Formats: sequence, C-alpha cells, structure tokens
Amino acid sequence: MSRGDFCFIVALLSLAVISFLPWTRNMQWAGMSMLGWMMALLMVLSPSIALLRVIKERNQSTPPREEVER
Amino acid sequence: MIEKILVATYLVICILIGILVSRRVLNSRDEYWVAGRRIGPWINAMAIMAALASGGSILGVMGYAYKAGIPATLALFAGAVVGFPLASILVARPLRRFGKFTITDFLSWRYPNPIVRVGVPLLIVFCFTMYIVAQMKAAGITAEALLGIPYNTSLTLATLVFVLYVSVGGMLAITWTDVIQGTLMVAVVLGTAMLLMSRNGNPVEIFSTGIQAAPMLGAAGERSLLTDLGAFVIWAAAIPIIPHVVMRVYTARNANDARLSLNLAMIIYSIVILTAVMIVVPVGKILFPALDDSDQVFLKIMESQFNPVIRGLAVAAVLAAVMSTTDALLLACSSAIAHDLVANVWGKNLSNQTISRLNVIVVWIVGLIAMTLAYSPPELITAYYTDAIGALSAGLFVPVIAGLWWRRANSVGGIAAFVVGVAVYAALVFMPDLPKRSGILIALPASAVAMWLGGIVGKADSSTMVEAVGQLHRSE
Repeated sequence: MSRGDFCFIVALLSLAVISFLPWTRNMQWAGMSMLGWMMALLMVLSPSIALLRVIKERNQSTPPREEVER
Repeated sequence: MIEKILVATYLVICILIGILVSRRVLNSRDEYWVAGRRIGPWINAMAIMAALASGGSILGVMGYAYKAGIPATLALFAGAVVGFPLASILVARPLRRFGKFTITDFLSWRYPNPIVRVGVPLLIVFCFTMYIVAQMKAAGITAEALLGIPYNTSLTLATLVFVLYVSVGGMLAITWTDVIQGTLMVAVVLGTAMLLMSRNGNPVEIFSTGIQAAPMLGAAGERSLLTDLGAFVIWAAAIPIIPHVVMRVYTARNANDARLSLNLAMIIYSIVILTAVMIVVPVGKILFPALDDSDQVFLKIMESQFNPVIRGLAVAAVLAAVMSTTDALLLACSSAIAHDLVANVWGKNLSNQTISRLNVIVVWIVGLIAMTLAYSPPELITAYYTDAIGALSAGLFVPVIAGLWWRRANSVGGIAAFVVGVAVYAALVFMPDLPKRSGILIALPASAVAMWLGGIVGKADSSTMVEAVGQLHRSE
C-alpha cells in the first residue's frame, strides 16, 4: 500500500472516530447535532478526496502524449 | 392512468433489455456473471450507485430520517460512503487482478477448506434473501400508495419482471438496466428537491423551517451512541466485501477503472442521500408530522404535491431503486449457488449450458422465496436489511482484508475469523439488552482476534501462496 493511501485511510478513520465521540451528540449547530454535520462532511470529503487521488494516480501512470509519439 | 402507462413502459424496457442480451450471455460464465469484464468507469459507476441505492435509499433513507432523525440516518449511510474508498484502496486492485467471479472464489482459494467453500455462499444467500425482502416491501408499498394496485399484486408483478430479466440477461442486462434505473433515481430525487425548493424557498430555509417545526430531526436522539456507531461500522465494513459490489470490481476493464468507478459512484450516491435527507424529509415532516409508517413519507409528498406524470416517474424511480439493487442481489445469490456451490464444490465438469440453466432456475427460486417472505413485510426496511448485512460484515471483512494484506494469514485463521465473526454476531443480534446494531462492534474485533490467533497457532501458508498473494499487489 502506498504511503498516500495509508495516510488517507488513517485520516478517514480518525475523522470517523472523532465524529462518534460523545460531545458530537450534544453539541448543536444550526439546529442539528454535530454528529449529523460530521457525517455529512465525511460523505462529501471521503469519495471526493479518494477520486482525486485515483485520477492523480492515473495521470502519473499515463505517459505524456509527446513521449508516446516519440 | 398516465402513471400506470409510465411504469408499464419502464418495466417493458427492462424485460426487453434482458431478452436482447440473453443470446450473448447465456453460454458464457464470463458474460453472465461479470459482463465480459469490459464495462467502462462511467457506466460501471452508475451501475454501482444504482445497485447500492436501493429502495432503502429512496424510501428507507427518508423513512429512517423521519423516525430516527437526520444524524442517525447520515451515520448509517456515511458508513457505506466511507466503505467505498476503503474498497477502492484495500480490495479493488488485488481482487481485480485475481480475476474470477465472486468473493467466495477468492476466499476459497486463500483458505481452501469446505467450511469456507460451503459456508460463505450459504451466508450470502441467507443475508441477501433478507435484503431482497426489504426491497420488495418498498416496491409493494410504492405501487400501492401511488398507483392504487394492492400490495401483494404489485409485489408479485415487480418480482416477475426483475426475476425474468436477471435470469435471462445476467450481469450485462443488470448493468444496462442499472444505468437507466440510476439515472431515473437521481433525476427523481434531485427533481423533487428542486420542485420543493421552488415552492418552499432555498435549501437553508427549508432545512431551518423543518428543524424548527420538528427539532427531533436534528437531534442525535435518545438512541445509544453504540447503535449509530454500529450502523456506521456495518456499512463501512460491508462495502469492501459485499458480493454485489465486489462483482462490479470484476466487471471493470482493469483495476484503475474499478477504483475510479467505485469513487464516482459514491459521489453521486452522497449527493442523492444528502438531498433526500436535508431537503425532502424536512418538507415531509412539516406536511405530515405524524405518519404511522415513516417509510411512506416520500410517497405522501408525491401524492399530495405533484401531478400524475411526476407521480408516475416517482413510482418508476422507486421501482428502479428496488430493482437495481434486487437484480444485483439476485445475481449474487445465483453465483453463490450455481458457481460457488454447485460448480466449484460438487461438479467441476458441468458445461456452460448446464450452468446457465442452473442460473436461471436459482434466480427464480430465490426470487420466489423472497417474494413469499415479503407478503408479510418487516416494519422498518433500512434497519431490517442493515441487520442482515451486519452478518456478512462480521463474517467476511476480516478474512478478506487479512487474506490480502497480512502475510501471516493462513487457513486456520481465515476459517476461525469467518466462523467466530458470524457466530458472535448472530448470538448478539438476539440479545435483548444490547443496543440495536451494536453487535458488530464486538463481532468484528472477535473475528480479528480469531484471525490473529489462527495466524499465530496454525501452520503457516506455503511460500507459493505467499508469493501468489504478493503478485496481486504488484505494480502495473
């Protein structure tokens, strides 16, 4: 596993752990508990960052066009 | 009348797709189970999204948010969303390189033992039958509420349609129907939200008004923290091993496409879930504050707010959500029995034609059993099928991940992790004092400990196996 993938998984799981600490249930923002906001954040961030990483990896593994033509 | 015509048109299209592709797929296992392994990332992403976004994700997500509040609902669905990057990193690449058809193929190769070869497919069929029953309830109540067709009749009709196209069209038919179904689902959920916004204000206003009218929507509630955490963990651990998602990894052209499609699928899925929960549910809570069956909230909104054309599209979308998941589940059951059990365990020399016939028969049997069970449906569909999926997470997550990533993993550890995970989860589900869905928080660590002990105590794998597993991680 690459270092980047490992760091991403650790960050994702850390955010998930923080989201489920007891304080997120009681503290509210805009009428909703922080648990809800943290979960919404996870739902947006996790696939977006993972997608960017996959695209970046694909671009790095694809040789530039000039190189292919040569 | 127009609603019924729209729904009938949609059902006919699904059947036609199944019949059109049947000639191509019925004589090849590769074509039938993994669509020839040549599905591009965008099509695969839409199919994955549609397969995961079940009747639960349209009716169930709103019903659960209506009853348990938005934080609890997001905790459950965020688990699935987090599970996809995990699947993309931990299993997509090595399993795509492994090839074959099913998760049982990998586990039987990694831990060659009859307990795994027979136990895993049986567990899959049992859990997925419960999952299918929950989907069928969604189909039945939707057609009953919006088309006026009695629950049992609509249930029977929907079952006959998807069993027909899955049995003859296999994964290729599922892929194309799933693309149509996924598009329809996204369009209806987002379209409904936009129409509601045009009448009730911007999303912030709708959300604030809904929360003020029903503060429980935003509260974490009296439920145990362990229930929310358990639901999150069940789905996060399920996605990397759940058979109908893993089969989608095999349909991709290569490992990179598989990873790309998994993450694309989850972005679309997140948008649908967040829109449904943050916009549609608050409006539903204001309009219908005291529904007996909370799974009906979306249908009530449709019935009271929109014209017959939109209602027809909504029925088609819910049916699409149900069918796109159920067809994938049925195919996974078919592969579990026909491929994993009959072909691999009892008769390696069966011809493709015999296997094809067996697929058709298995799909019909599982579909009809689930339909019979769905005549007496469960109360809250999302909670019901999450419990079933928990058994799969408990039994398969540790053996799959350790089998791919832990060098000391061996047959003794794999079998122990599978058996202990399932047994502990099953025992805890029936303990009345334990918070709901929290059993996974004990079953998963128990499975990991069993794997670790097995790895330490049992005989180490041969160097050939260690080398073969290493090959699955090699750079392209």
